[in-house]
Amino acid sequence: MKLDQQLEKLLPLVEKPGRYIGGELHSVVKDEEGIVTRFGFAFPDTYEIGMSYLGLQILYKVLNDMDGVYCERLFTPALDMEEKMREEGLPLFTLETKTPAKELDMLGFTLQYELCYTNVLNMLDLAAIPLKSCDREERDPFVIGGGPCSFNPEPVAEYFDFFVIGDGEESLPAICRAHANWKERQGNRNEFLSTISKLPGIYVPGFYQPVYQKDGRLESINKNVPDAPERIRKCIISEMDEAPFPTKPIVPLIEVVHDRSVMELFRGCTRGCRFCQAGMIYRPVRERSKDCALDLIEKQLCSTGHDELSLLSLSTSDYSDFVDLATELVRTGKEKNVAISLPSLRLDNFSFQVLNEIQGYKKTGLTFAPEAGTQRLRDVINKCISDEDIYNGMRQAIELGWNSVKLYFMIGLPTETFEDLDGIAEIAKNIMAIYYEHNGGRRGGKFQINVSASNFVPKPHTPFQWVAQDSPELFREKHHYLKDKFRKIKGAQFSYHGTEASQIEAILARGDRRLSEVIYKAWKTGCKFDGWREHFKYDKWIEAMNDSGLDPDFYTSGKVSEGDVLPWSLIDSGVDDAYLQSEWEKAVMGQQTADCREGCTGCGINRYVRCEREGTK
Amino acid sequence: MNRYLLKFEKTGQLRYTSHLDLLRLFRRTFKRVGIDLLYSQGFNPHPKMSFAQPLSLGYTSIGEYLEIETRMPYNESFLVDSMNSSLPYGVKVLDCREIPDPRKTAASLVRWADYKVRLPEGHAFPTDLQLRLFLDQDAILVSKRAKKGKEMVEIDIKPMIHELQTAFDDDGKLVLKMKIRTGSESNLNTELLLGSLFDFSGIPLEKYEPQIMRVEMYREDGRPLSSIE
Repeated sequence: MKLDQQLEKLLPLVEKPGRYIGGELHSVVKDEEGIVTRFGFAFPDTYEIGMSYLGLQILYKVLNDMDGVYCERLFTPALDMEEKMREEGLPLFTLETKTPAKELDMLGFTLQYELCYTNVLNMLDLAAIPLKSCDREERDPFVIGGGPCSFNPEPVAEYFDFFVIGDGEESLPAICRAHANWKERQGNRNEFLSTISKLPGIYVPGFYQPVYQKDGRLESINKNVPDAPERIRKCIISEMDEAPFPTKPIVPLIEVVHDRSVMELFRGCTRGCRFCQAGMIYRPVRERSKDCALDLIEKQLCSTGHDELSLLSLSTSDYSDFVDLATELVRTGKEKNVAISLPSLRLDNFSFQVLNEIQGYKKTGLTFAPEAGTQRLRDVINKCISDEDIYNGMRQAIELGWNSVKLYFMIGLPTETFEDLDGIAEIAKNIMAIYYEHNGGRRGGKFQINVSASNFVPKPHTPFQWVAQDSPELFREKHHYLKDKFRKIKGAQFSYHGTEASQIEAILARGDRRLSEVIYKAWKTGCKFDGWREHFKYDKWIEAMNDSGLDPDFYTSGKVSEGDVLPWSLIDSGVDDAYLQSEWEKAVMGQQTADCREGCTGCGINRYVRCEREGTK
Repeated sequence: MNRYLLKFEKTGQLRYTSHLDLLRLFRRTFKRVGIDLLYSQGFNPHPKMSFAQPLSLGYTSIGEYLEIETRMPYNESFLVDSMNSSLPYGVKVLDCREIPDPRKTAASLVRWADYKVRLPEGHAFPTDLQLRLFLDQDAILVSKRAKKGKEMVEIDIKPMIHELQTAFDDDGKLVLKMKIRTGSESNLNTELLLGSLFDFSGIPLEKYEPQIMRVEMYREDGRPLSSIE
């Protein structure tokens, strides 16, 4: 039976069959004649999540714009579909042409969060592709990793033939060109890896061998291949206005998490929050000009018919032309019945004006992230907002008629004490007091504060890459402490994230290559969709750690990053190690580092590329 | 304000999209081709468009209806052509008529619908005798989950069946044809009927086997929904 006939039989039996049919508006159909490189873009989560990811749309366009290259999409089948596929012997397939993944030339996974690793293994297994790079044969596809997690790819290093570090817009086409060449000269697998290892941003883990000390820390990372690069510097695209951006993104047939047009205003962030990996690894800030952004938005809305537009960046209000752009978008949005959504706003006067305009009477979704409860701790993490900023913002929100706000905090930040936790409750209490004051002194009313606490996970390539994560017990104690405090604050709700998943995330984030075995064992015993609370199986992970003779504490305590060689030492994010070190030292002393628009703070990225926003404020 | 009734088909893989997915799909298509729908007033304006009757996920149809209100008059064939220039493969507008205002909505007029059921190659259908015996019962009792709550209730679906027979389709393949109650007042679920019929006839039927197509929708007097006085 042919694959699509087999599929036809399964579709009536599974939930949301629309996930597996392809055929969306702007999905690409190419004549297979003349195709040299068949590329599979794999997102290791469900269709609805993967299709909401802008990077997929960008790289799909980049690759399909090339002659001789055909890029198709693959997602993780949901559990019901997986079960049926295994029963029927239906292999993992591409949505566009229903081709088995095994028949592709390359299979590129985007690694957006650590807890997707078991899904990667599961997808390879469903595709009948050998899990480990060293077991793959000449005819197997090359398995590629990219995205933020590839900045420390070591825990999954054995499963990938190579990683693409940094921006993919230029490196993926370069890889495809090298692939076409290689195919023409009929080279072997190893020779291809050797060729591309000389391209910028390509890390071939098989070319390196980690050597461990007795206590588990790294002694050195040795080269297996003499001409493998010393370090792998991330790829950086420099001109956003010239960078490819989809004007005809795929429009899903079924409802996905974000069903809207998206405009990436800029990449990178000038603020330098010390816990934030994205703020470090996506440096420097590169902006798209307002005219370019407006033009792309117009084209995108015309070609898709979307009725919502979202602006994407790490800190939307920092966009240089934000006032003009937002004013323009709000105006045209009203005219054309397109809703504008603006995540990551700072709560200043202009933002309120815009939000008020957009949301009108329907004031929902005001979210704000102070991250820490006291000025002291906010100085430590370099989240440069003051109590006054918070309260002024909230006063304005209340006066403009918002009935609820959501505040995000992180628990377990370095140097945190119970006083800092008290600070979180204090902020909620003070905001309620502002509300009562506005309400003419009457207590009661319908104003709601929702406080959400996530658990701090130390990430590689940040100034906090050396620090310990709180133990699950300590997290629990802190959660209970706060829950108790919040019980006494009328109008405020407190919620927190599961501690166990944060612990596993921390282990994987700073993990070394020995974790490959742990991930394999976890997957083998049933772990998948670990990022989904209802599927996460903590016991299996701990069992897998134990079976592999590894101590969770070694990774979460920060012991893993003591010494000169860290698991991610080969990866050069562009930010200097000395800078991270000095940021850590300043953190401990509670010293802020200014936004680099006020002047270069010396992170080192401008050794490689011009910083366009440096010292512009 | 101008009102139009669009007749369209939903075929192929698109049958795996839901009623709400289809609503969004049409909404985006109108926007893409620049047909100016009327928007509701209020805090959350939405375009005025509604389907005559939702189609279950997995069914195909050559007789679906969408009612729209536009801000200005359009030529009917222009509407058909521009929609078809932008709709994805699997949805096609077949016809469009302006409807005089005021009148009842298309949704409130639907009473009956024709369905056509195919089965995989070689799968047995009930014989004519079995069909007759099935229909000749005093009552055709099936149990179905009550709308609210979880308990099963038994209902008689006999008055909801107008026609039930096998026939040869255009391509010479055997199909089961039925005209049954459809609409907001009384609605017979096709699969409920199939389950009962195949059970009665002693023929096993798996959930994935029937391929169901809606062919047309009718008013109480038996005229197709598209006929406008």
